[in-house]
Amino acid sequence: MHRPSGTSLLVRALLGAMSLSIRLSPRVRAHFLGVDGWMDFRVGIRTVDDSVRASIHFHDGRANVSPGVPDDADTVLCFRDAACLRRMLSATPEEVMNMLLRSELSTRGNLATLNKFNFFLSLLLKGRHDALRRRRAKARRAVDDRVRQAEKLRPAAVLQPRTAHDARSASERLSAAPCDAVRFLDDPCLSAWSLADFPRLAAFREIHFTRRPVLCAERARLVTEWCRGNGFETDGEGRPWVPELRQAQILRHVLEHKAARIRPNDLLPGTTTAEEIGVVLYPDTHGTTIWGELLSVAERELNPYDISDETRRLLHFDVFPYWEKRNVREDVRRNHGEPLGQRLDERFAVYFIWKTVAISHTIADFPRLLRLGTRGMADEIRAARDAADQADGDRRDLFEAMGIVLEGLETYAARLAGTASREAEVATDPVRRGELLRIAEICERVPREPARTLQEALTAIWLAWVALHMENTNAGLSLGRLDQWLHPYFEADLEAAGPEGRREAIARAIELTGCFFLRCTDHLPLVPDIGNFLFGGSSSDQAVTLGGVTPDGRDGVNDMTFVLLKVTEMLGLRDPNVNARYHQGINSETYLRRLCEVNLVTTATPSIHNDAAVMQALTEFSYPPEHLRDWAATGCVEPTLCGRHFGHTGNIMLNLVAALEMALNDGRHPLMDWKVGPSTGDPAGGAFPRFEDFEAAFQAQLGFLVDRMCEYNDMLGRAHARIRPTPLLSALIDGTLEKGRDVTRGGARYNTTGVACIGLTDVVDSLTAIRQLVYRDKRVTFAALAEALRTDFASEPALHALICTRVPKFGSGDEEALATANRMARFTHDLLASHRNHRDAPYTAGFWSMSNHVAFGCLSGALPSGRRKGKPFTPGLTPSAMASKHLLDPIRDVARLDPRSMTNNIAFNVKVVPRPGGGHAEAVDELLALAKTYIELGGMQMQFNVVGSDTLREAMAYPDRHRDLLVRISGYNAYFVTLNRDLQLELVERAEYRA
Amino acid sequence: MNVTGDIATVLEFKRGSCDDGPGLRTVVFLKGCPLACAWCHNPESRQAGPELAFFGEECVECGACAAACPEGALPGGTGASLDRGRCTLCFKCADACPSGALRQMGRPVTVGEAMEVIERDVPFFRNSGGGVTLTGGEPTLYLEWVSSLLQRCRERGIHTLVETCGAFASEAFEQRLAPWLDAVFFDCKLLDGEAHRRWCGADNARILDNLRRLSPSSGAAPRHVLPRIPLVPGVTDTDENLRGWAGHLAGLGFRHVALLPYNPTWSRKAEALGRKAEFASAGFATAADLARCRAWFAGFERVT
Repeated sequence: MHRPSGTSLLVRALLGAMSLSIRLSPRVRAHFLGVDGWMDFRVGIRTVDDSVRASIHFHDGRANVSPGVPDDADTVLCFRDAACLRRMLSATPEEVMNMLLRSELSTRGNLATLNKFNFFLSLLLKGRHDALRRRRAKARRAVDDRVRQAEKLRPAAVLQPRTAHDARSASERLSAAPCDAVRFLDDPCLSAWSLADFPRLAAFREIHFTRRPVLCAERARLVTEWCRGNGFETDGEGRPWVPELRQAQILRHVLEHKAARIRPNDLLPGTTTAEEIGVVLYPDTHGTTIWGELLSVAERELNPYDISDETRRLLHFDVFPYWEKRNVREDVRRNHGEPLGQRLDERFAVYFIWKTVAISHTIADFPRLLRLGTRGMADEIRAARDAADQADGDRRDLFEAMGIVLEGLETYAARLAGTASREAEVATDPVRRGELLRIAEICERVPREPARTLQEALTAIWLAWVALHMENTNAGLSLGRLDQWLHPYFEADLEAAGPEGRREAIARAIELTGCFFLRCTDHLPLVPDIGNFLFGGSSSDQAVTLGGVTPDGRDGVNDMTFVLLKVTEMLGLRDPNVNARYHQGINSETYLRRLCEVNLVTTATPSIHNDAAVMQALTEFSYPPEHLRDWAATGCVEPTLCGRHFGHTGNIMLNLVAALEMALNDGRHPLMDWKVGPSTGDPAGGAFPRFEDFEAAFQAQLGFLVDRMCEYNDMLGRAHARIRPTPLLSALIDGTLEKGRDVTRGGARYNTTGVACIGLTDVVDSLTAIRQLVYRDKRVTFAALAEALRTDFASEPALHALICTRVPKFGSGDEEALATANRMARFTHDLLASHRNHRDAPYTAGFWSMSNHVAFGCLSGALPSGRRKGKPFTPGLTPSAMASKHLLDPIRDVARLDPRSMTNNIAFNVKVVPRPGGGHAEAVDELLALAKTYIELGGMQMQFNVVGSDTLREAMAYPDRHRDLLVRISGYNAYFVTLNRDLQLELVERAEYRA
Repeated sequence: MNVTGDIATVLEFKRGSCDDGPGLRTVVFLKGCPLACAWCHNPESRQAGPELAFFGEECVECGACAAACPEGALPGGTGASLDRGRCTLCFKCADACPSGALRQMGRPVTVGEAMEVIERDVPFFRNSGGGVTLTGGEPTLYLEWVSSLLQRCRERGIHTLVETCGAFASEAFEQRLAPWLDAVFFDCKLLDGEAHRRWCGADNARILDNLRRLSPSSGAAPRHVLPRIPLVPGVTDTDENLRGWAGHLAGLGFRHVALLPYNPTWSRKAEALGRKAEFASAGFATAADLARCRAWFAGFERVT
């Protein structure tokens, strides 16, 4: 054995200091004593080449340091080299996670335990970390100041942009004659109303933009409390729990004990958390990812959360230790011996599987709840149970579980009725007293009984929404076709109001639905700092879908569609994420123009879907037309057949470029420096005589990645069925009663698994460049190209220029590039469709990217497409900014992609800036011309960002003035100022077109 | 100048434009102009034949141009050393240049080729009320080419517009272009003949005569004709010139006018062509300047 290196000694010294401080400091030692006794775990630290090896064993309130890394270490940090390790020693816990992303560090073993270790590091080094953070913030401020000076940026308007536009164009707002299936609105644009008419909504909106979110432990506490009392694996008598029954009891316990709050002055009762804006914790999936940040999350730079000492203590001593090994990710690691698919996932560079967090990307059958009430639903469930074979215990257990959760939901409503009555008694304002009494009455009726009015319907949906989020992670669970479902109740209100009361009833509907949208902002998903990088600025992505056709094929654009569009326009929220279906030939142009107007005013929403094309995309599933026509967007843009379909549409983010990089390197991924894929040949060594041979190598590498990804995903899916089946969601999805299975076990009528394939454009442009330059024109050898990529084109600037100016890109109007895009999309689709998930259903292919085109781009080298190392890929399947100077080329080419290869939808971003001095109506008409033509040509989905790079740069320099600047990333909306720098720059650098 | 019917020198097709007439338009820039305005913002469109331009900031100094040049006109190995005296405009250097720093400005295009480009965007024209705008340079220089292009557009139901400096033969215009034109944007620069000669290098008598023939007062077939006045600081934006135009246009029965703020970014393009920027300007107009200019046209509906 050779002499230990300097770094080795340093690491051992640090671990030794850790051990010493446990011995010397009672405060530190006390943190090792959890509710379950002394925390006992081993952490190994090493470098790839084993030049550094050390470990520490915590037990009985002590710590022992040893020079090796034992095989049974709970978690091992493996650094790329000693330099990376030394860097870690002077990094904050957030930065350590970023090292993980950049492959300077990889881990083996339990990630929750790693986060626990990070917690202890931050406990010991808090002073040092705070100083580091302060120093960095100061440096950042200095840079910002320089940028401001250099660009002579001055804060422009005192008004914020959206509000400014609001004010500017308020007098020019379009109005319209009744159209589509509108019966009651004289002006469907509702141009007479503005936010100023709804002070209640304006006040809630202000809270949304100013209140800091708080990490709320309420759900985690109640769930843990129940499990500690009743067991998780086995019940009090040692019998294994039926997972559905256990989860049902847990949920009922939460709904019986969570605070029954009504936000002051709100019209809808109930809150997701105990805080005004709360971050919900799900320790049974990814909750423990925040463990390492418990002491610092309030101070982190991006999207900080407040956290109380009580919450911190509860989580560290009680909740997290309980779930450290009882979560979906660790369950798979334990049961499958840390499979290759999992190890790939945990390097972040090739794919990301959301099942470690959630299965929520689906849409519940709210119409059923509104029509039957929980009482009617329970009757149906009981009938199914009575009909089930006595011997079929599984079925009966599921039905019993469903009954339990519906009871829980009713209890929560009853408790809120109590809160409303009590608050009414002490209310001094008679108007508010009246509202509270009304709320109490409503809560005594719904969701138990069928809804009769709009307020009852919205209350029932909201209470079910809260309950669903107590069961499932708030990540992409979507609201579906609210305009279709709410319309009958709105209509009933309008009929009851009569002609004289109509104006008031319309105002009431705007206010109620506005309250509903703002209720949906009361919770945020838990995002560890690494998530600020991966999923910048995303909230839950609660998609709402408007318009399109009714299940029987008639025009579905109704009065409620336009009310919800008005609310979307007035509030300008990132979430709910509003998606609009436009069915050419059935929906009116007035409606499409209104969509464009709202998009212009809000700068980013709604996104517009070509109804016919989305349905065409789903042809292969042969869904009955009446079910197909009931599709709605989920999470970002993905189609779910409402209330019948468990498609977990946002399940996997797959990096197509990773396969390309592996094909260029004979199966080795350069950033990970890991020869993980099959050997497909070295391009520089002449392995590919023909272009088609190289393309085949790419396909082989992608096939390998997809195999691993699907294997791991299915393991996670089975772990969900064991750890967190979902009786409430199952009760609200058709098919479960007939099949007698939870949706996590394939109980839904329709099943699929959704994949977002990221980097299609970058792959297509790379293949085109290789074909033209290496094979066709022979301008460069594959070896020279490979060398250029290794040096990020530093060795070959002329080659880089040639690629940028002379190789046609996808979206330039070049037919061959378009054909390649269609071929690659088809190949990816067929590859995914050939895999079946654990619910015996196929994988679907989507081409949108959330924010992962930036994250994956950061983790990828230079590409033959001319894209430089670390730069973002294009968002979704948007053509590159290099493709064409003319906006119409990308629009036309994207429209000519075959929807049947895009079964999980697409995201096509178009950044347009209204011409200076142009009028509002003119700008709307320009957007309309683009959208209408795109749809006529067969395009599937498009989303406008109506904001210029100048405004974005100014917002980077003066974030406080641009809090509500809304942008569309790829499928979802975010407030620009909440994004990480890379994402902000990606938006600035997107091709910008005058409209 | 080569103005035969089948081929024209096209500088650029600019598609999806919102600035050159109603709706989304494909703008065809034709190369060559009878005037020589000192402030011309498209200096590359003055000469009718193709030219060689060099944009230094895009050069990657690879030497491919010098290697390709049969005349030895790039002795220094990059575009910066271009000897225009030796250059025969064979454009082999531009073909070899990987970055587009050396660029051929203008290429011969047939009517059929131009229609192929235009046809691509027909659905956008239909949905936006857009169409084709011919500009330059001076499109009427290519009378027969423009005439057959306009006819083809009319057959396809595409809206047509010509932007002109007004220096054309009126009879030929009436016979060969007017029947297929939906709109004309007519540049009104300097009303004073002497000033026009000095700044634009030609007399303006014919221009003013053509404007009169196309004006509402002439009793000619009603057609959309929009007078456009470029606001060149110290030249055309003087109170004297603007007052003159306001009166003149009103006298001819015009009710609409467009005022075009000066854009100083053209000087880079002149330098790339090896010309001196003859006219140095202060830069973009201030809001106060614009307001002063606009005040002269209070009686008109201004088109932006």
